[in-house]
Amino acid sequence: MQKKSCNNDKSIRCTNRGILISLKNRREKLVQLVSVLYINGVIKKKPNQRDSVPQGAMTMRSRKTMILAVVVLFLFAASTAFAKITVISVKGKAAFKTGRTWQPLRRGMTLNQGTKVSTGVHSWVKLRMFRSTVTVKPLTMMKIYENSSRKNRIRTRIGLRRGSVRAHVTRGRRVKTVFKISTPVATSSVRGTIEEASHGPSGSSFAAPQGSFDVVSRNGQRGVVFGRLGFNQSGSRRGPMFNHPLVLVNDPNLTGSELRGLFFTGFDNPFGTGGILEILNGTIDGAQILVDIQWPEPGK
Amino acid sequence: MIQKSITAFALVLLIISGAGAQNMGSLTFIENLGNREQATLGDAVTFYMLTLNKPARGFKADLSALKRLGILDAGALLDSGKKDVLRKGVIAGMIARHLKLRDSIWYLVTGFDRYAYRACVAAKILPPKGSEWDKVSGEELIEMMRRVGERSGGVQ
Repeated sequence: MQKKSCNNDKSIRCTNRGILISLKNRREKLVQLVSVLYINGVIKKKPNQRDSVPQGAMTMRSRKTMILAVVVLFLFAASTAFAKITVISVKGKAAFKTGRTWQPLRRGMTLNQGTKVSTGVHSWVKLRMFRSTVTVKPLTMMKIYENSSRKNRIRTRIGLRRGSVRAHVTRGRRVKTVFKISTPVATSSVRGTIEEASHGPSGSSFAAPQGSFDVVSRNGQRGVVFGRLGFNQSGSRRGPMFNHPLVLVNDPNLTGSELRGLFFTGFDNPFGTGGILEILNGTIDGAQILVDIQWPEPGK
Repeated sequence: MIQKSITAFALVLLIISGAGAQNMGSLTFIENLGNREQATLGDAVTFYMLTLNKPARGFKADLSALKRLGILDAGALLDSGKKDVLRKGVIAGMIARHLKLRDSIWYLVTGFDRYAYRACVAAKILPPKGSEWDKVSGEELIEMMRRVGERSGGVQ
């Protein structure tokens, strides 16, 4: 590299001329060194995939990619079938909404996922979703979030904003049925039964006239509703879930505070494995069950 | 002839659309009410007319109709306007008279909304928390009327 003359040149370059020249020289020297080494084969160029792959292989790979994409798309499209919801009957005044406006709902119509249904005073709507039926009671507003089926699974999700619905879920033998009703404060998962769910400003209420179902509140409370049990979740998300059984059978060693705590944590399913009925069945042989009913004093 | 057919068809369409509009009118009223934080006396009167399957003809006319039906006392709400705030005591009184709740005899004797409110709480139409002076929101009014409908025999 030729040294540049810096006579009468007071630029930064010249004031640091020595440093600049030395750095530039080093860089040039380094470049020269690398070139020499490369030419002599000491340093080998990193193989470029584009350069190394012949033209035929690229076409093959792109074909494979395309075939794979098509297969994936096909599987995705065929994997989930979204079934329409049929309006079996309408009594009174009812409407549905898919966009921005409400339209009158009539018998025989088919609704899609994402449809809202609203009923007026003294009005009912009955909907069929696969093999299940949902009765929308008066002054109710609900939304159908999902009604889909896969190979061996049917999934239905309903959102209840206000009012009351009654769901009659029929389970298939070889098909897993997932039927959920959600309110702003809790979600119930029906196991194949009749469920009644309602929601209002004071909270949500679930009851199981037949069969059983799970309930999960927004604050994590879980429970199983069956028989004459009902669950009420207060309107506040922080509120506990209350169980209202007619009779409770508990361990006599439980303290009062533990019993009260059971109201919030739920009870074991008495019909399930390890439930109290199994324990009783295994131990009863002339056993006696003592029921102590404490009635509140008048005036309290 | 063609003109007559077109006119007749247009008239039929108008009638159908009018009927549809009436059908949507009550649902629109309910939906709008549900979006409001505060219900008014006019909302309660209109809603009660819908619950009784009577046509709503304006606040004054509906008020007179409810008085004739015995749901409102003859001397009640004389100076009230349709935009007045609705309180639980007022709607509880209407409900207690309509459903003839057993505990409402005190209300019939004394006319105090407090007893009508307690009767509605006992009948699980109103929530236990609160008092007759509490304001009523749109959603609360809808929920109350829903329970009134269930109790008054509106079961499918």
